[in-house]
Amino acid sequence: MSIERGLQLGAAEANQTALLFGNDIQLFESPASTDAVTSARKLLSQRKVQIIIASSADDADALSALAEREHVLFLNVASRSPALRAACRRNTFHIEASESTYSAAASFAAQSAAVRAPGSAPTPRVDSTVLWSPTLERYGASQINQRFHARYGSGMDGSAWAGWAAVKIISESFLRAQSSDAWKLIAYLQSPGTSFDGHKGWPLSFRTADHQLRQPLYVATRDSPGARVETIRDVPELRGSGSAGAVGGGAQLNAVLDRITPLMPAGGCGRAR
Amino acid sequence: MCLTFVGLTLWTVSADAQQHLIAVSNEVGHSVTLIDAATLKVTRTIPVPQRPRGIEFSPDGKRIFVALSDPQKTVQTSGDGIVSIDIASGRIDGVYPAGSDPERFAITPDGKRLYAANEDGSWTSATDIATRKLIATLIVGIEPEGVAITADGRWVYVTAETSNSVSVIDTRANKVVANFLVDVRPRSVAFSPDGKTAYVTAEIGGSLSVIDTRTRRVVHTIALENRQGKPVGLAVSPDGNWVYVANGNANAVSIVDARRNAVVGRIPVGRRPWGIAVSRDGRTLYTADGLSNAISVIDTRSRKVTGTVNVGRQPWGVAVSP
Repeated sequence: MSIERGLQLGAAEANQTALLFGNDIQLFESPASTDAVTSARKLLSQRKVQIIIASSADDADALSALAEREHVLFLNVASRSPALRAACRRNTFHIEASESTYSAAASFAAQSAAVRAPGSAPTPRVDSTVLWSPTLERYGASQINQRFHARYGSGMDGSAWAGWAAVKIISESFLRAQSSDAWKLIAYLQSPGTSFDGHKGWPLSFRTADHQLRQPLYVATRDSPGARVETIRDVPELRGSGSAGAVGGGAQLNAVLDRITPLMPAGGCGRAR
Repeated sequence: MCLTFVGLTLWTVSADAQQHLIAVSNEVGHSVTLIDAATLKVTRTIPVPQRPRGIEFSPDGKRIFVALSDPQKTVQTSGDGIVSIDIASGRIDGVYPAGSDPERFAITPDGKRLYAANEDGSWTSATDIATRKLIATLIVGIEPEGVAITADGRWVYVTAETSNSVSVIDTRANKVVANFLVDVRPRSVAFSPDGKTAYVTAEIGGSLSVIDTRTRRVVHTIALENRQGKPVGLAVSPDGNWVYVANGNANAVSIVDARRNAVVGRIPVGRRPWGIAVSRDGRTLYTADGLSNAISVIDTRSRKVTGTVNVGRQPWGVAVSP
């Protein structure tokens, strides 16, 4: 549900922007009850569809493979699977973070908590690592959270953000590359000079080696399960790297983000793209 | 003769004093600080009812216009709008409808209209100042922010943070006549005095986009602060030779040589400078250092901070009287 809402908001906003330039971006939704590959094939044959996005992680691998065969793009917004990333498909780009990124972020958060509070009295706190939180405010986060809430009456969570960001990223690429051709979009998406704004305060980019979006994750600390989010922190900041600005001194933002985003498979895909 | 001379002198002094007034909007402090630039003394602090951001002097220098939004960033209220403050009395003397959540705005050189970016919408509001009426609502990109008007009053450029766009408004027809893309997450926009060039800061791109206003294309993208400075505020020197950019995350101002389109200097200032303004003689620069609760005063010749003035909580914008 969350992902679909993010996709719908993303499509509405992508269209608003595209209209400024006389372009038009459409989102076709097919019902979850049907077989994903069959319905994707149907859409591909009936419409000029260039991008496939699956709202369920279960369909990700099959649709990723289909996109490769049909030479369209597959944007992964739902699956954290290492196997999907290890498949290293040229036409697939991952907006959702991988399982290993979530666990790396969680362990950094735990280390950081231990450093911050040595010997302090244990309190019932629950940490979770998330792609996004409705309580984020800085860097335009409150604006997108507000737009999501105004439309759906609920907060934008990590899944909703992934859906929204996927459509924003691909529609921006379409406008900047001035083409919906898959080769041109792939070239633009994986170009080292390309970056995107996901309202996270860091320039987001896809790593050429595995097409994984480099991005900060957040640690939400709650007093107890279900309690309101008490604090939310940018994971790279926990790593002693400081804020994006404090990285400075020639260090690259991408390198900082890569530290929480292990290559999958380790060492990269081992073949030229 | 002698009396005439004295009279002239007095007139000059008074004009000079007016020339050196600095106004600062304090976003969290809900106030406007007025500073005498000659003495760097705060002459008045004027409370405002909402969260002030964009701030500009009227072309005649008699009033200050301030954009106000609800302090709760996620709430839009009837209090959203632009107010004018009469400098002589320090009182709010006008309320202008300017759509919801106005952030930055610009006043036409003839003082008759204002154009405001409505951050929570995707439009720009044009307001007639004399009648205090909204005269047009123009569709631009998502999360509009920066607004600038050419010196001849003909063109308005509006940036949009989410859409990465700049919309061009023809003020004669009050219509958007063109849109173009700039670097990632554009914030402020400013024109060269001759109107041939426009400059746009890109917060996430970490750069300054240089635009040829004839072709409406980006002709240079100048990286600032290793692309990590989160540039926001922007000011062009009156002679058009220098562009000054406030890098909110680098706590520094970049000096760009407009003839070479290259960064030629860097001035460390207070924490999180966003607003920036240059004096009419081009010799002094002011930055609103949001997390220092102060403004930095910079001598543009030595390129050094020569003073700081404490203002209200989280100064956002700064303007210099004409």
